[in-house]
Amino acid sequence: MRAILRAIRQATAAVSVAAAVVTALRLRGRVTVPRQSGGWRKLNGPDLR
Amino acid sequence: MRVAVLGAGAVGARVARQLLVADSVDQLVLRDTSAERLAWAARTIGDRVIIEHHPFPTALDADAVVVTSPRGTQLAAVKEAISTGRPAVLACDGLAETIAILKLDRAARDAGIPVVVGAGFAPGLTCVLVAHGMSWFDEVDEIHIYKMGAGGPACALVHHRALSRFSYDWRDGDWIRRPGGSGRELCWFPEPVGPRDCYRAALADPVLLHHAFPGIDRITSRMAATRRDRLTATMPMLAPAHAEGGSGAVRVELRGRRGTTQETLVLGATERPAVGAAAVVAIATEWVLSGKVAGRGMSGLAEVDDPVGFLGELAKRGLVVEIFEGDGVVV
Repeated sequence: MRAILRAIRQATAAVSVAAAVVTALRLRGRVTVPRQSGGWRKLNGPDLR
Repeated sequence: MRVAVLGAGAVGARVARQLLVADSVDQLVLRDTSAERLAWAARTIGDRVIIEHHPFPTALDADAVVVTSPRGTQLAAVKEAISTGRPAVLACDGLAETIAILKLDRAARDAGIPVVVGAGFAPGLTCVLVAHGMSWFDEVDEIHIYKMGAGGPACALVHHRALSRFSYDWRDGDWIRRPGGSGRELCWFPEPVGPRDCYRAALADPVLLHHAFPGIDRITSRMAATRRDRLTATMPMLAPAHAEGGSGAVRVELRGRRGTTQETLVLGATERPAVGAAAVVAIATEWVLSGKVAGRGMSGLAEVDDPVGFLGELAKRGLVVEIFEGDGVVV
């Protein structure tokens, strides 16, 4: 019984550490996308010269 | 004029219909291995079409050959066209087969016939867009191609396999080999397709564009794919492909110098890929028949002399090209 509880504690700890590492990496890797504006328009006369 | 169309699938049947409706040809020979497809095409196309089912008669009586058959059958079809001295137009999109076909350049030149390679949606329309975009610049350094969507089942199979094969990009005088499915890039296509994640894949566009513009430093291509596409790319197709895919899109991006400034030009178009490919193939065939494709040997549509005229013909058939414009655009 004690061995099972110890295994569960170790697994929980491992998952927690992994989650913390992933969270840290995601926050560190987050980049701010520059604001963009614009859009598509059909090619017309002057564009088809 | 009599034209033979090899393959009566999503693209071939439409090409046959467009050529007949436009009165570009007097008669048309339509070949396919599927009796069902031929029967359907015969019902819908009209009485100026001659249907030929497998096993085909050995002699093909036509002034030009349009190859819209599946990947793996096109090389043999081109060899036959060259040996019989008939101009050919191909809607090929498989990388390995396109390279093999381009290697027949000497034979086509010796036969004195033009062979238009990659005359579909992508490659094809993408090459015309690049040819048009080149005229905007004094000097172009980079060309980047993006495509989304697939036409009929044969096209869907090529699309599926392309993600598990190596992509070839041209960079500073050499071909760079990278795994398909890598290099994710978020890319905006014209509406209604919009933003899609695009990845490297075994696409034929860089090979054809390098053939047309050997002096460009960098030519890359990517195609839109979902996580499921990438996950299942190495497996056989788990479900039969749709008879025809939905909306597709292409986008070409050119970077270079105009005057004293570095500029970026982004052109794109949306259409169902088989519909777009059929329009491109039909126009390319008409141009070959009328002598507007003057060269001899293998050429892609990036080498047409009048890309604006080609785009004008496409617009008449409902395929409109768009340009991306904006402030602070990071492309």
